[in-house]
Amino acid sequence: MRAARSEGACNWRPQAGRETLCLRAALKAQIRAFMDERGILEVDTPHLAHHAVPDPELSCFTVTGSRARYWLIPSPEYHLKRLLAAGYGDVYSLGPVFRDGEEGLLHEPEFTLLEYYRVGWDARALAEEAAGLVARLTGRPDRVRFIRFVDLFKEALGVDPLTVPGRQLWEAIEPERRPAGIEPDDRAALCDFWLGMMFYPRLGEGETVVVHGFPAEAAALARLDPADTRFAQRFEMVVGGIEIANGYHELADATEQELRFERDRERRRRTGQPDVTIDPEFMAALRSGLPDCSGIAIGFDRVVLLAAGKDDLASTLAFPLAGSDPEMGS
Amino acid sequence: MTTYTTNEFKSGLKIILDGDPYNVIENEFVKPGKGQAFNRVRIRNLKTSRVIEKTFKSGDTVEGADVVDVEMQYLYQDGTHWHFMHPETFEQYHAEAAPMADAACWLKGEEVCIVTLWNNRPLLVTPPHTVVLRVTRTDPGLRGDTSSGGSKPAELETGASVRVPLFIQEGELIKVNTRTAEYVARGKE
Repeated sequence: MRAARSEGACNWRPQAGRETLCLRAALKAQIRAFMDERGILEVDTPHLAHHAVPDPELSCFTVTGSRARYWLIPSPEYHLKRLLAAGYGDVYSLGPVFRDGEEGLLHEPEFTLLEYYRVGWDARALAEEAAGLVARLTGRPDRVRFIRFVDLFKEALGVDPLTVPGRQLWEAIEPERRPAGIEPDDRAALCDFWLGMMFYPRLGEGETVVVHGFPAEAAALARLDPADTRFAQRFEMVVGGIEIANGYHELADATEQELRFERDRERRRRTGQPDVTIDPEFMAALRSGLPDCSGIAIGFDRVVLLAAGKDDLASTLAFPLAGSDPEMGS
Repeated sequence: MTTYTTNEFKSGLKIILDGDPYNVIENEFVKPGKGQAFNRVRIRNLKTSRVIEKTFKSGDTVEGADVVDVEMQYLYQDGTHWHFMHPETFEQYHAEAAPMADAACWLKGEEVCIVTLWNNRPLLVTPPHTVVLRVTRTDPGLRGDTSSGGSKPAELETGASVRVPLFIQEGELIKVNTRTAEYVARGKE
């Protein structure tokens, strides 16, 4: 897969071909035109931040300067929400984000994220608009199917993942495919396993699939469904078996957000991960009032991958980091 | 004892799983949008050579296997064991039949093999890439055949069977590729 990179002692050549880089540039221009037509303002947000994020599943890179220590942003979310809270209206950013330890066929520690917000929109309206954008960019059919998180499990396994004993989710996995390091009753991790390893790779052929209604425990920065608080108004978008976007009807309740951050910190402590301080400027912005809005983050490199018909994220980049370690082998 | 986390899994790393030593072939990081990440790893069982796929929770730790490859000279076979000698320490090692599965039929003595040691005991013996052996039995070739023509079965002095070109005669030396069990060329002493 990456054999080309291992030839010779030092391969300085770009990974992506020129035609792929032309495609990247053209897709960025299309995105900017799409946003411009709709009056969504492009903003540059910083890449160095004073605080990391508490999400236990995200690890930020640290940068040590001569005067202070910084973190590389894993997403522009906090800054964009500060703009929203300040009344700047619909905004987007298209730029690099950084996540430590995420290296693989579909992961690069540094990747390009398109993140945008629509004031006064709910998650469904935003998902429909974004699905249209993704279909246009990738040249795939502009057909969207919405499916609830629990219905994915009900259709495939005939069980409600939130009410069956966690063990049943474990036993439903063929013995040789069961993951090591997961307790057989760890419902949250087993849901992630089914979703990421079993369901997603088979979803989104000839259509865009929007998985919505994630469990409240996986709400992250989404608001809970006022009609049924067991679920969050959060969705993920899958195209061609690849998770391409994550969106929320944004949580505007600062007290609730603080509670969730503290829960994240508690989980970090329990699992021996470094503690993270909570960004006070972000919290102050929430307290001052975030307008009712929905937001989505779209993995731009994955859009390029789908548009180019490739299967390896590194092949969409001139200079990928993942796998470029000569010791990695092929 | 060394332990490795899934992020350290690289091609060539030796680990222990369910009591058996494995060689990591490929490590793929998979993460659903948000939430738990996993590593899907292809590994080869060094005892059975079977390749399996195993999924780990990212960050899970696994015990490293003390496995090293050492070049050693093959000495002799005593009926149950194959004996090898380390060229510098002159220390002798003996391997049972299982590690010899792919090697035994190519060795007659003095070949330098790669002996894979696990906890200092032979786990796998890899013969030299090519060996020169004498043909002990084969049908006479037909006149007029050229080296680009057909082939016929031949038995070698170690008991191995390979296909050889029709012009090869009993008593001749041939060079054989031990990985593919194929004839390469006529051999020299």
